[in-house]
Amino acid sequence: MKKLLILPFLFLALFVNAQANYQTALTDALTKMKTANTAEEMQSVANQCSRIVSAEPKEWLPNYYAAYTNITLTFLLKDDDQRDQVLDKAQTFLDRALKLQPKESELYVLQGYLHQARLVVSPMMRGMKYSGLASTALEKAKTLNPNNPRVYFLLGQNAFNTPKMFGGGTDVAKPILAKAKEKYATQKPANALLPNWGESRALALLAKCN
Amino acid sequence: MKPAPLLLLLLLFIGSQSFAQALVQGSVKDATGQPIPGANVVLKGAYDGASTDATGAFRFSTKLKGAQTLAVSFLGYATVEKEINLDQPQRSLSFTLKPDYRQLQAVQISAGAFEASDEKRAALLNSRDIVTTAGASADIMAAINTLPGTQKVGEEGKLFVRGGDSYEAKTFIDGLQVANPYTATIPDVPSRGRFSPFLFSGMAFSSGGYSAEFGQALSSALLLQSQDLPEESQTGISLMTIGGSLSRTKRWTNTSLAVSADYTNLAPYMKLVPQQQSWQHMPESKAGSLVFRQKTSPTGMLKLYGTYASSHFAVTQPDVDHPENPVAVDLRNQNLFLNSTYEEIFKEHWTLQTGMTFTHTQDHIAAGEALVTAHQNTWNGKAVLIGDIGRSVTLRTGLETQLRGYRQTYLEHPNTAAQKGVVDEQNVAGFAEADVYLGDKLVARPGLRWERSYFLAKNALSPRLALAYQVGKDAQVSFAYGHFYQTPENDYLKYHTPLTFEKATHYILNYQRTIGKRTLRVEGYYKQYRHLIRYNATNLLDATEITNGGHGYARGVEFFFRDQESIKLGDYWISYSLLDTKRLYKGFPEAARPSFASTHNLSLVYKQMVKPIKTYVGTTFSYTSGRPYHNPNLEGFQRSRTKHYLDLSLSASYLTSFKGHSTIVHVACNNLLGFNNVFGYRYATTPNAEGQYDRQPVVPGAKRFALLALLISINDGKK
Repeated sequence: MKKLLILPFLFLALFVNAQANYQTALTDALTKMKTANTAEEMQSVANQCSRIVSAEPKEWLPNYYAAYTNITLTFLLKDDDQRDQVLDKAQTFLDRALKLQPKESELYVLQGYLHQARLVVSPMMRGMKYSGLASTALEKAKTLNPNNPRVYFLLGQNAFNTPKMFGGGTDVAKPILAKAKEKYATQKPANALLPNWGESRALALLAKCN
Repeated sequence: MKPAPLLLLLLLFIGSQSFAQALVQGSVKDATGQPIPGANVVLKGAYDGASTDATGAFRFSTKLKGAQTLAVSFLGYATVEKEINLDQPQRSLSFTLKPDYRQLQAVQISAGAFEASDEKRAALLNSRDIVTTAGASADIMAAINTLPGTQKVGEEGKLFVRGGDSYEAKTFIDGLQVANPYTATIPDVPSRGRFSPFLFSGMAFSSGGYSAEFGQALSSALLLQSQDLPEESQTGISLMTIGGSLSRTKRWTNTSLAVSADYTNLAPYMKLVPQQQSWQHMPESKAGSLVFRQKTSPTGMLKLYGTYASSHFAVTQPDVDHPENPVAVDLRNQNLFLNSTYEEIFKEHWTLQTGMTFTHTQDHIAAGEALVTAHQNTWNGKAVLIGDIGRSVTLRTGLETQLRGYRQTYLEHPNTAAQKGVVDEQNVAGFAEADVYLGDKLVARPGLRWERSYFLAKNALSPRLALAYQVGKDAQVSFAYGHFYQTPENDYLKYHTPLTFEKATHYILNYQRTIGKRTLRVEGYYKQYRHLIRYNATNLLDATEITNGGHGYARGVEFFFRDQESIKLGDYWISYSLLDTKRLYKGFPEAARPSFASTHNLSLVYKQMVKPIKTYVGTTFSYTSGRPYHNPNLEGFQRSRTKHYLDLSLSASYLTSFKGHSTIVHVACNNLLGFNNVFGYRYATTPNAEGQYDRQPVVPGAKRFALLALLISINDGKK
């Protein structure tokens, strides 16, 4: 009889083990992500994230990072068709994450980021459409969490890259980026796995506004 | 010692650390033996895996045991899986990935087709290009007229493609044929396209050899793809020298609704600028429209579009037979157009597109003492299923039907008996075609279309085939062939004589090379016409017999070059068409070149953003060689040529903001240099006292046309 008591402990042990596995795997991927500077390195991290997704399909964070790394990858790629295909892939990860966590502000931030990446592929043709889509997604992210610093970073970036005659420019971007700086300073993620990017880029952009 | 904790400890230990590690290694190549770097190698359902390095090699260790599945994937290639047993020592594995051709889309059918899209960068033109083309005045058809394959016919304003008459060129919105794409008009007063280019996100202009999905068009298909959900709620105001419009768009998460009202009146402008014609009532139109969009699921979309327009004008036209007695012509038209489509994707690989349109149009024309009233109701229904089969086949299949009821009453004189024309036609069609990728360099699109006309009591079977082959890195060669059938126009059907489909056969060879943002296209074609409508008098009204006894041919070579790279913030294209054609049709006594078929057509379009003054300027130069006309004072038929046509148009859009709202000030002028253009001549039916036939030139209403517009959009989001 006594032996049977062990069983729950056994399962608990395996569960804790699995949780730890997922966190360890993701931490490892995030460490690599921070140092990835080439398309090859970023591709390798994106692959790693997508492996975590297939092992942990019910967690939103692996999907988040699989989408994030694929979006980041497109800024390192040169071929426009390939960039669009990678963004398609990023969108499928993001859609899955949104299904798991529909009220997560960070996911709408990422959606806005993805629209901006689409815009970058062909600014002349896509400028109008995707800057509109990006700001819609970011406004949604803002309503879900008005303290999310990445909302202001990307809104500021959007304004920074929009020509003055279409209601953008440095004058418009500056106060938004200043707000991003303030939020980055006060809002720190609860744990190391949660999104924590954009601060240095926001500060660099803010410096350009002066 | 209690065994339980020991066992637990042991199990924990085994669970986390103590599995013997198996090493998995190998390499990934493509079909040609080239390594694929960056491929994802993964043990399914586990974290364990690796990415291939620059030499295509991968290597990782795993604690998993037993039979596992190793999957290798890379963008643009089909995923490959292999069963491995980790309990046995692993040999080096080698994988060969095969391209997913449909996903790669390295080679695309381009024969005959010009695509304009906001989304696809491969497109040669996008809808903004249409709006900013100088001389087009934001008319889709006029902008398309700067592309190769079109012949400029100034007095009609319609599309004439590759030696074909304007009725041979059809317009489709979301795959459904539009019964009345042009505004109603009378001879010598050019018409415009009814639809604003802003309604569409993409356009494809095909000057021949098009898909089996499209029928009832002998020469060309203009495919317009309507916008999805608008980005944001906004109010639009436009004020022009010839009228104005007001629109309101409301966007909810998955729904949008837009209403607009337009009013056009040329009176103030025409009073200011002297006109050739003597207008009694200058063109005036009132229109309203409603656009509804509902995203029914992440992949489903329901679209409704309705527009109603009422137009009126009255003009006194000179009569060459009775110069002392000009003819007063009065035209009133009402047009209602309703379009609804629904699209949904099933099981990722199947797309269903369904749609229905209804068009009601009513014309009321008084010309001198004659009175013509006509109305037509047209219903179109269509369902298309698109599916991916395997890695290299996409199948499209569908059914469509059109019901058309046409009623015409003609009174030659108020006291004569009315002549009535009645046409009730039903057309049913079915089609199937497949895009088959044969390797990464060759794609074939065989297709078959069947249709039946109940009015004609005839069936037609049209085989179609298109091929594209990639030659070199940036270039491809395409070929298209097909049979095209079209039911004769109401003007002939109403006599209820036994007729059959008119028919054209197309052969097209195309070479296209794209390097960066420069594109060169060269296309040659041969088109054969059979069963064209023919009657035994110069004028249809005098004819006693109408048959399908006509025939003809058209052949030509066309060049297109576009460069969006060499000039910073600038863009230009050059298009040239050479056409040789003859046809025996309508009242022609012998095979001849019709009046709309000019031999040479050249367009030069240049656009430039001038940043310091925030202005987008555009200029279009057009040249059309002399058009044929028949001079009864000379031997032969259609042997004379007008002098060539020249036009230089300019437009400028100044982008600014007015109280924080995006504002555009637009100025445009056609035929800036004031060339005296003549479209043709109209001859008297009887000779004068000297035995000569008198003539009148057909000329534009005014040498130049200028427009000033102010467009303001007020976004709800911006304050």
